[in-house]
Amino acid sequence: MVLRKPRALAALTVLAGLLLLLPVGSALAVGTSYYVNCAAATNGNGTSASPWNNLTTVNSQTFAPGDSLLFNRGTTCTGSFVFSSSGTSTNRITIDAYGTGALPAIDGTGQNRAVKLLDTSYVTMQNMEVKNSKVWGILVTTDHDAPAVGITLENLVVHHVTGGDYTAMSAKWTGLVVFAPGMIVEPDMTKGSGTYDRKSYFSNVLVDNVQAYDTTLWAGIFVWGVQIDQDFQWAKDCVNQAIQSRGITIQNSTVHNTYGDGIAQFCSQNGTLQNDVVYQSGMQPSPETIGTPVGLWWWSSENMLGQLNESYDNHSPGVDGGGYDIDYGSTNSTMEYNYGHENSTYCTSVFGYSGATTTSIVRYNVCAGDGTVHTYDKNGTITTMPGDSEIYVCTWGGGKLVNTWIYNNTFYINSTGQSAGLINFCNSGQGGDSESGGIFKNNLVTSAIPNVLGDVGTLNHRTRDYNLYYYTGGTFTDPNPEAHGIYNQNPLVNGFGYDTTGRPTTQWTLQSGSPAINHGTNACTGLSGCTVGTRDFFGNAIPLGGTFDIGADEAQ
Amino acid sequence: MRTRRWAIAGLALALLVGIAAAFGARQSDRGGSAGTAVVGRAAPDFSAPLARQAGGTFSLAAERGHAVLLSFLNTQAEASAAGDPSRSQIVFLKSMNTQNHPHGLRTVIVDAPAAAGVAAPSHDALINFAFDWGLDPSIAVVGDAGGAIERTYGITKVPTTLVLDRRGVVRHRWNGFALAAQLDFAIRPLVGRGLAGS
Repeated sequence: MVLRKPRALAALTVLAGLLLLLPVGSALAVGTSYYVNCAAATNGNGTSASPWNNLTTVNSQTFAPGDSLLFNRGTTCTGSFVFSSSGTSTNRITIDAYGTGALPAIDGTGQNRAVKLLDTSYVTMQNMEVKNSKVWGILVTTDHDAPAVGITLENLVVHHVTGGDYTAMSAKWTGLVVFAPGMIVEPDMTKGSGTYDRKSYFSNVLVDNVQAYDTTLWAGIFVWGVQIDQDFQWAKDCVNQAIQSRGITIQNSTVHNTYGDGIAQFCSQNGTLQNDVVYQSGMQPSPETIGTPVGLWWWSSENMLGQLNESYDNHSPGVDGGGYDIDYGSTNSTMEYNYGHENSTYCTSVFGYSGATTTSIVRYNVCAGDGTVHTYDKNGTITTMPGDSEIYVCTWGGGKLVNTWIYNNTFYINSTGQSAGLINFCNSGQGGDSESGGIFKNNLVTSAIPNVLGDVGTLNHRTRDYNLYYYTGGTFTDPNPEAHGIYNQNPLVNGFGYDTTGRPTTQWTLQSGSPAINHGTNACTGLSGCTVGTRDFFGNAIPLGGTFDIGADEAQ
Repeated sequence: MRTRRWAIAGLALALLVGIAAAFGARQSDRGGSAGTAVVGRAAPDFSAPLARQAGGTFSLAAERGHAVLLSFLNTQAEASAAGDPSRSQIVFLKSMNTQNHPHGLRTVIVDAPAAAGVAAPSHDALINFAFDWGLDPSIAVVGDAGGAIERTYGITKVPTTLVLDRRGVVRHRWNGFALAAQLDFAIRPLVGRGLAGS
């Protein structure tokens, strides 16, 4: 039958009206949904009416682009979930929950890993709980020569990874959520089995709203960016940009109570760590075994951004135990709008070792009350904890710091450690150490101890000016006074100190009449490639009133 | 003529169904005829079913005597590397509630599908949202399928967040993402906490 035009118009009108009622953004279903209910009495065929009821069956399946694998809320599957299928950029595979209520759980009791995503691309895993395995909660890895692309982990709770051992090849890439390409170290965890020709890495990975906590292994959320093999060349390979992982974002996530790192990316490029909270990382009891945990950091990486994070109450069985770290071999790093407080050692560090760490920007952060621990047990000997200051700038072994730009931060110092003060410069004196192009400007420094600046014996080649220094206990004398520095004037802030928990913060905003107002400078003047950004820690546009303020608050 | 009536009837049917859907919401407006909740004026009261398995109803009027952190979000916001502001806002809301609920703050999340340009989630989906984000039970989550609350509050973008004082007066409003520091500044005085830290 052929509709006459008016009637066709009427039909189209009705159809259009009905289409308006469809959910915006809905699309025709692509792929098949498969269902898992580990509380079901019998094993089915994966349909909603007859779901699978065990991980062994699930692990034997291959899924197609557009498919969904759905676990029933409020139920728990025991064992290890291994997933190796891939979607496409337009038809992702989704591992998700169905039903209503508590997250479905994977309980990996007795397993090395509760979840293993192997050689997958364009896969989203979301809305699940993962717990109780020995070495990894979620291990994302590869055993092929291609990049793993487009992996998303979202709305996950991963916890209680205990009972495993550190080994030579599995030390730092263990813990709650671990990305490590080419790491096939099971079952003995000492030897790989893959083809290691360094063509595998991760690209465009998103970790969002992952709550990771409680592990006696190393890390909370950890990215080892280059393929791991057995030749121990990882340090050199790490800075090879051609084989680094790239485009990895970790955001809106919380990590706490780890033996090692909180959130870290190694050997990566174009990564972002934002809006995350880390506390009580580095909780391994003394003496240290593999050492150097930090709350949130990166190492040997390029074009990295850490912003809007909170990192506090982090510790170490040995050295480090700070809040934030731009570690050696990194290039084009920015740490901004972060809040660090009450960490064992520093708030933020910048390190150079055996080569250059280039263009490290530390700006508009609030750091308060760090350097809470002063010694550690080094193989039975009580040793002074280095870096128990707000800023720890350190080179050793021929390390070079090029363009370390520290400006418009607010620091509150109350540590009483041996190296306590604003900055602990750590030039080892070993041959080849150097610093060039650094600035330290527009920082608001309030100290409850007389040694305001800390270790000023090694100033290196860093321009220090336009800072405000205030010692709450008396008069501070700068051995190398700044031409435009402000000394011994109360900064008139809305409260010193910090909160023991929780995101920032009302402290350290400037009161009317503060000497910090309009007494800063454009910190980027004369620095090639330096831009000051658009706003301060508190969200105010910069500059206000035509001139930059001192500290992390731009008041007027 | 007959065919024209068909067209008119079809259009009318579509409109009727759409209007019915729009007004089929369980929320009820009580006041706020100005259409927006502006700083310095009383926030329009509303009540809506709580997105909880145990059920219950949230009533803004019942929170008089408490400062209220009220945020309109897209609870279905997808994670993206660009960062969805609704998802990031949730992180800050949780932190504010953790710090200030013991001092009397009440935190309310209203799903705002109209401003987000998405279909309203089911009541079960809102219940799951609370589980997926590990929200403390003290945080109330409600839906707004018909958009009535959104219209009353003049919500045009998500997130939009308001801070109400103990009398229910709007003290702060952010049409867009609100930083933790901005929220903290607004909340502390209303719950009897000073600006200074510990």
